[in-house]
Amino acid sequence: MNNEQILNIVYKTIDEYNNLLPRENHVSKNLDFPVADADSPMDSISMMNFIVMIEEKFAAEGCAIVLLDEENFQKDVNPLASIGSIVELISSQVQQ
Amino acid sequence: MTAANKRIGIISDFNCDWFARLLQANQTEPQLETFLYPFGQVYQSLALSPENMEYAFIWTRPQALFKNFAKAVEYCEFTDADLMFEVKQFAKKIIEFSRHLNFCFVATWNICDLGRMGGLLSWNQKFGLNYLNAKINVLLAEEFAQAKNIGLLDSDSWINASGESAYSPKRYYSTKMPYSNLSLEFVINDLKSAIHAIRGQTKKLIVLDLDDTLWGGVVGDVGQENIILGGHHMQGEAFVDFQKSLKALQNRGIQLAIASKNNEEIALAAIDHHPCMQLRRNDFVAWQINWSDKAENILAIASEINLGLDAIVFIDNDKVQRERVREALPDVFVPDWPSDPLLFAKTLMQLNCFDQYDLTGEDRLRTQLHETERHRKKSFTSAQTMTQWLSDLEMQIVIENLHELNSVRIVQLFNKTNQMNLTTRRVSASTLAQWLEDPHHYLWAFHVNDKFGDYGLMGVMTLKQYDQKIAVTDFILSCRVMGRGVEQSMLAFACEQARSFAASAVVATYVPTLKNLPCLNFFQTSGWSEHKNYEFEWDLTKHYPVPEYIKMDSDIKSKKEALEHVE
Repeated sequence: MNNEQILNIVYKTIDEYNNLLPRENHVSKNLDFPVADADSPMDSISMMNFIVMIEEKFAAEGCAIVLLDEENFQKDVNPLASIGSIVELISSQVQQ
Repeated sequence: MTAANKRIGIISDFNCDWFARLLQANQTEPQLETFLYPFGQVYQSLALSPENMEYAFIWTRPQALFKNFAKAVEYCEFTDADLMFEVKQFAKKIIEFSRHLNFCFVATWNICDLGRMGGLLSWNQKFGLNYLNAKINVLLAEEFAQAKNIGLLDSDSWINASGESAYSPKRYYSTKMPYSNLSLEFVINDLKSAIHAIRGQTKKLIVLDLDDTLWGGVVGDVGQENIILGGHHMQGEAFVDFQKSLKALQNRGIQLAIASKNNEEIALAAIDHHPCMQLRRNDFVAWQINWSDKAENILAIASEINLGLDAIVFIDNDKVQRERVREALPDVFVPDWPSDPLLFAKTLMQLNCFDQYDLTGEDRLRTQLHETERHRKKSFTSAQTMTQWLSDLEMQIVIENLHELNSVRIVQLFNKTNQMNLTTRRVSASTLAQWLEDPHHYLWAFHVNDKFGDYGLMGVMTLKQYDQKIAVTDFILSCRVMGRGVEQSMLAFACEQARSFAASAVVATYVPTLKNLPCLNFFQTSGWSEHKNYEFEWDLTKHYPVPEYIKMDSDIKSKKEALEHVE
């Protein structure tokens, strides 16, 4: 799975997530969109559910990834901080 | 979100924050505004009085609520009697909490989050968790049996429909919500269907195509002996099962009709004589079997049985016909339909538009009542005048109080009747019980029969005393007996009651809706004087007569007796 395919699945998840919620709570299809970050418009429940949805989407594609790991939240640079960093984290796990 | 959206409180031992957001964001009717009680504080939340709340949804896990169930989960010693006591106490709290609600929905307990529970051990009567869970669910249902405004939602159906992904450990450990989005979607659908059901917004009529829908093949081409129905044939058996499923719905009061492009004589002969037909001619309240446009035929059926289009479901295997009806009659619900007949029965039973809260005698006999009505109308053609016909019917009205046996039907009339409805006020059973306790609020139900048979409970009227006047606060009559003098009889009864309260006049204020114009027309021709803003009044110095051809009888108990009956 290459980065383009990964991004494609993440964007599909964003579509599904946005379908569930009112416009003001939508996530943008933008690599800089902040997720687990101090600047994120998402509260913790939204953020957690969004990340679980990404994991579930990849699992449905036959690709097991683990994003929700306490260690990720303790790192100096949180790999879940933005859409872009999440894609990078997934990419690193897929390559392994 | 608008002011009209109903508020629903959510009480749970797990975190329903995400669920509450999805429920509030869901755009299907009815749209709801959610209020989330702090999770994990079930008993504390139930001790509070729900304010400005229409509904509540209580969704819990037994191992989180009951000490003895938690012990059972760990296969430690526990006392069965103590667990049952805990369940009864929980039910009691819910009953108390629900007194101030229109309706309280309680999810049955499900232990899918506990995984596979020891194989054979799971139904062991001493240690089996499935056995124990079933037992406490049954007890809960029994405890709520007398509660008119509490209903159990079947959590097994959400879990089964969601398959393996129903329980999500990821979600549970990250957000304290054990269930997947897919499960939550099923919960939302079920909850909304249940609200439709208690509001009486269940679909009432299924209009069916015949060829390749009720049986396989084109009867006009192959003849009734060669249609695919029954026998040792996969599709034939599936069509029989589909008809049996329709029959089951009919026994719940959902009526059936036919709109088919066919030769009427040939099609009816197949219905009457094919040995494997499960549905016969008298199972259908109306049919339009001809070569006309199906949308027009559905309109004709709706008009014939006096039913709104929004109460109709149209089932046809032909996509073109479905699209045509969807486009021409957007109020008619046209479900997507599989092309494979093996899936027909399953597809029908998965539709949630027929969900009901309870079944009344009228529901179970509805098709029979229509059959009787057909005979009645036939007799009309031989009568010389309308008055002569009404007189020949030998109508009798029996007036009843609200009591245990008629309360479900009365709630149904309040919530389903649109045309002859003075105020279109929708009420719950608990509200009815509260009215009974109000010494100034009176309710009567009107049971109608004639020489052709029993119509069932057809009308409801409530009165309230204001100083020297009596106000008709609700005036509701089923469309099945509209225009036969029952309306006048109800007003005559209101006048008679008002006189016994030494009132000087009876008043009624019409509240217009899109559908209750027949009620205004009736009041405007009733003889009552009309003031501004649709206010009608009858001066009690004058007698208001019951039509001569109607016999009035009463089975009225004192208010105290009636109250004892309901409790």
